[in-house]
Amino acid sequence: MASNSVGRWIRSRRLLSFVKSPEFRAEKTSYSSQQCLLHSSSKSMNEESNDLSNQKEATTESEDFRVYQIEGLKKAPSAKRAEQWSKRAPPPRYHSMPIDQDWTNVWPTATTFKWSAIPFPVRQGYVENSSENESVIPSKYANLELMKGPNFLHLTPGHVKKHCKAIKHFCTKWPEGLQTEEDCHKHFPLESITADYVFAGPTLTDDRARKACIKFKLSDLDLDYHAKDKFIRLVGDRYDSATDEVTFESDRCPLKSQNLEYVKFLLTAVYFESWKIEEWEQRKELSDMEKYNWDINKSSKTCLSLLKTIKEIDNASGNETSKLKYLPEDVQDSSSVYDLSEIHQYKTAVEELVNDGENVETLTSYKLAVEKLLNLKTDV
Amino acid sequence: MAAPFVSFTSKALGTILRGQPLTKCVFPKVHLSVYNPKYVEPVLDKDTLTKGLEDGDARHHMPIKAPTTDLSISPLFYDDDVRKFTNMMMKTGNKERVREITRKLFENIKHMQVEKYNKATTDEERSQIECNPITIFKTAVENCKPLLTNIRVVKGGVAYRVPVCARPSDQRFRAMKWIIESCRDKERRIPMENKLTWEIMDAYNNQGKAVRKKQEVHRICESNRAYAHLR
Amino acid sequence: MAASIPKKLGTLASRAGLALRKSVFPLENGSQACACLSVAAKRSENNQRSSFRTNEADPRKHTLDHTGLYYEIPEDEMTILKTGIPSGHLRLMKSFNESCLMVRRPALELSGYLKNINLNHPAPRFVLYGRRGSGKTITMHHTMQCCHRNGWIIVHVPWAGKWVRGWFKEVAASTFKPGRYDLPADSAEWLTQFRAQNQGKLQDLKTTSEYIWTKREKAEIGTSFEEIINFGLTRLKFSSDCVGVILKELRAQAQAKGLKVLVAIDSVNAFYVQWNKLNALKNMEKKQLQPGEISLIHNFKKMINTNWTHGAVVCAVSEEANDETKRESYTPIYLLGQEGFEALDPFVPIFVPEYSEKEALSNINYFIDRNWIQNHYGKTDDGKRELMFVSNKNPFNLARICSHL
Repeated sequence: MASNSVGRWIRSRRLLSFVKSPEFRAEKTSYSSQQCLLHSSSKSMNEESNDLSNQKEATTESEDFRVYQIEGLKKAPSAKRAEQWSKRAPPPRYHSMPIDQDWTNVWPTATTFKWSAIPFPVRQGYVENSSENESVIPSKYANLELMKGPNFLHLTPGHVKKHCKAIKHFCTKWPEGLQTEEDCHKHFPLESITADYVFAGPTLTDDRARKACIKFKLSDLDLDYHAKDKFIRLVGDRYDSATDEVTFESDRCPLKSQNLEYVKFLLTAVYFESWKIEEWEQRKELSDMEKYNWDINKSSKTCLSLLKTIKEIDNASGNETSKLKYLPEDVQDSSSVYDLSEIHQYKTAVEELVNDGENVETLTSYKLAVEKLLNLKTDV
Repeated sequence: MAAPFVSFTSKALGTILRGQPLTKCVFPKVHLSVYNPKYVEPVLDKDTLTKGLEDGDARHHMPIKAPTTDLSISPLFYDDDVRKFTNMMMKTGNKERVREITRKLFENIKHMQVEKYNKATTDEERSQIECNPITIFKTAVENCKPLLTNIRVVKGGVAYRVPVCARPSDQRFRAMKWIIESCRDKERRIPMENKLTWEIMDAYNNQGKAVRKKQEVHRICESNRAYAHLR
Repeated sequence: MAASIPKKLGTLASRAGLALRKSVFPLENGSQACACLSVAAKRSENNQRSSFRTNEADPRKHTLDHTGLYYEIPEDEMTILKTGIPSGHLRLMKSFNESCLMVRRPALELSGYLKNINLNHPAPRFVLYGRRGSGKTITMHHTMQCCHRNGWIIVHVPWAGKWVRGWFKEVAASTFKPGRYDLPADSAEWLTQFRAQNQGKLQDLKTTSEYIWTKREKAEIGTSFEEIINFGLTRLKFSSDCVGVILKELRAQAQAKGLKVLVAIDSVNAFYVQWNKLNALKNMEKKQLQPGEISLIHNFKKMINTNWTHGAVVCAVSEEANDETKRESYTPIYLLGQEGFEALDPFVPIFVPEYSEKEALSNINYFIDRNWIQNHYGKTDDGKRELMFVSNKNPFNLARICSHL
């Protein structure tokens, strides 16, 4: 209301055209300035009246001899300004701190950095050039940089000790027989991970709290070769081959307990599914194999047929010195040939060569295995 | 051909040198380098580099050019003339190719000479054969260097071809240019390195197109020697 | 093959390559070689000559003591050996007015194997592998010379990669079997080379079965090899079939006649790995040919099999024979691929390393002796060291760098 009336008044005076804008703040400022204007005009009226009375005094004095006062000749008694009362800060606290004080009493909880309570020197900040702050990094006094970051002065060992002492009678004893990590893993192979969130906010619920996760080692499950392979293929990237760990995670249900139940169900389902052998799995080909297996590859067949030929030749020639000595009398039975140490060495060498890649070791071991297999020798 | 020419050259040189000092350049010099002329060339000598500059050396206080990628301190792979020749042969910045051509050129020269050397039976014969391809190349370029060139001077509305003494850098440039151009004129299907091999071996023996070109320039200078004072 | 080797190798290749690059095969240690360098400088001219040369010209008598030394090959044997030697190497030999090869460990190793093999057993397979320019081909030639002196018949493929590339090459449908394709020019070239390499060894060989070329032309039982070769060279249409006949007869007769057959195939991986689309061989319908469809390769693949005796197979795998996308590693299984590995397995892999310090020095000294290194700095110890460093002691690189000094 007042602003409206003032606005009208201003418009009538046509002093400031910009006041026409309906914005309240602008009008308010203009209002205060007008107030000042009014004040100053009233003040000038008062001064005028004062001047008039002074003139009157001067006329009464002029009847005596007027002494000319030279300004500054006589030292006028300076009116001593009353010492202004000001609020002086007490000296910083760290000056009066004893060396053996209890720090937990000085800094009981988490709080912003306070320079006066810190008994050690500390500097923080950035000086751009030598002219700034004499090229010295600012000290702790009124240092915003130190206040910005979180500090851990409320988490010293003394604090932790006090906290522990306080909550000790709420805790139970650590169970016997779970002293090492291995023990824990042995008795509790399944690890479930959930999280609760507490914070001061308008709501106590947190979306993230419903998440549930279980972790376990694949080796803890009772699986055969096929089932293990199928399990890995089923879980996909939930399996980490480096640590042999499977992780199931879920946040699809609204409650934590439901999610936990669900991931446990998942584990059960995948476990039993991996034991099943479907009809289409019988059609697995060599190229679908997860790694090279010598027994079912062509290499074993060529090796066997080669040895059979050599045996035939050896039998026919009857030359004792040059024959392959390790071969048994009967090579028709392939299983007896596969049991030979030479063949075994050859098998591992080929498997390593293909599975681990070609490098100096695998190629050398392959070479040695072939030398033994075919009885090849060199002088070098 | 050669005998009268030599006498002329000395005479012509005499007249030219008497007139003005060599330092006054007859060709307009174009400054194309990105460097300020105060900059000095980098040191390419291995010993100097390991020893460091002497105390009184002015280069302590002078700005030095950054070495380019085709400079090297290895005496195995770097020669200034060869670098210049390679760069002159280059087209459209294809340095890899010209370097390969230069490599093959020296290989060819070496094959020609080393084969002769290894087939020679006596030591006397062997001492006659120069096998070092760099020496052969340098001699060939030396043989193609013109002592004089002619410049165009307009006096009284008439253009004269005035013989002048050639600067050393200009001599090198002309010699290399003629060698390369004479090879470019030859049959296109023959690889450049082969053509260069023949040309350089010819020039080494003071024959060939590039040497003829030099002689032709000298002949023109000789015929125009009357204008020598017009410079 | 399980896990499909090519697929697996694709992922493992880089790892394998890295592993090989990191580890150095045990060779002479540095200090020994350095000592050798300084000692070499002090020796007199004659002694220096003996530091890179041996008078033992018979490759059969070379031992480990001769490694790193050059031996001379007589001119008459060069006519046999020169096919397949890289052209740059041949040119050097011509300029040096002598044909010298260095005795190196893999060649000795290979000759050692061949010395001890039981010829009655199926032909063993040896695969040379190593980085580009490390000397696989020259190693093979050294072995070939050994075998030649021992009276072996040499079946040599200088560079198999040539047969799968189509550089304006004539491709004809096979006269023997539909679905296969002949390379008349290449077959004829191989026949000539085979005849040249086995001069004096083929007179006694006669065919053991009848071959009918056309209705009117046929080769009776007992036709000599010479005639078959001549027929192949005059009737180019049948040259591929002639190659097949000769190879088949060699395999059949090797045991009966007690022959010794050395099959040497350079860059054998070309037999198994598809060459790139751009310039691979194409048939008349512009369809790209697989290596196995080419009758020449088909016939030579049979020589690699183990179903014949009295012979040995020496192969080399090279990166150059593979398409540019398949050159990540130089190891045999990567280069051969699944098919090649299955065909060659079990084979003895023989690594051809780059020069040791001693060998590199010997090479440089030989070049200096032949007046090939002209640069004065290159003749000093520092220069030699620099050459070794710059070339990384790779034989091909070293020769290339020395070519313009």
